Amino acid sequence: MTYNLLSYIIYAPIAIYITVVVGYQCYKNGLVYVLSIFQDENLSLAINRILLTGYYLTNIGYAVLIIESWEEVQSVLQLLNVLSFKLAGIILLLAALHYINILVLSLWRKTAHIK
Amino acid sequence: MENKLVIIAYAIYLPVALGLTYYVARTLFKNAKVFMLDIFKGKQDIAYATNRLFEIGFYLLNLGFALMILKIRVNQYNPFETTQKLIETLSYKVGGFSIYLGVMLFLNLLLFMRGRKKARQSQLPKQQFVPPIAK
Repeated sequence: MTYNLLSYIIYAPIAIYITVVVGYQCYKNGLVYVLSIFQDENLSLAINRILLTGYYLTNIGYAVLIIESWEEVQSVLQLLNVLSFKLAGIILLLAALHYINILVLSLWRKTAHIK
Repeated sequence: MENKLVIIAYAIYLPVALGLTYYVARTLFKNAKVFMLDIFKGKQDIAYATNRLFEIGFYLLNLGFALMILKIRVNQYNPFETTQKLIETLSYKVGGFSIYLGVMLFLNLLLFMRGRKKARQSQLPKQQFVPPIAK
């Protein structure tokens, strides 16, 4: 087994695990926001679930997509370097998306209250 | 030999960085609940949900950064051979990371303070504003 294969085997479960855990937490805690925007429980639940699905699709898709442009790994040291760098990229991307999401939700909530 | 030292350095750096992040996040968000309750005027569900969302963001941002700066470059100008070098590099990394964490902590605190101030300002006029004509 080459180091590349080994790094994919370590990388994919961690990336997917992080995405799923973060998504589930946002799904659970975001429901209050969606409820306060739409004030209709069934609609809110549906929208929340659709948002979660869309989130999983885009993020897991992206995480798997960047495996394609992986550099050639030749030693254990390089494996650790590449692995940490790629995971850091995924995590920081999630962080950026997450903060944008909070911003949009809070802005949206404000305008919904003014109406 | 030098590879082994670098891997030892990673094995020390990673737990320290993760532990620091966990400790700072736990302290910050245990105490942020008071701010959140103030900002959302005592509505507990939305206050705690927002707190949790910010906590997730904080973890993502800092763990991502911690992993990003993990790499130690080894080449002919920086031969990673002695224990002294290991300690110097580790102290630089851990120190830099904890300064970054401190800055992040204060940024978050500033954000909460600002939100609280705004929430209070929007409450005040309804209670205390007396139109000048009515005096």
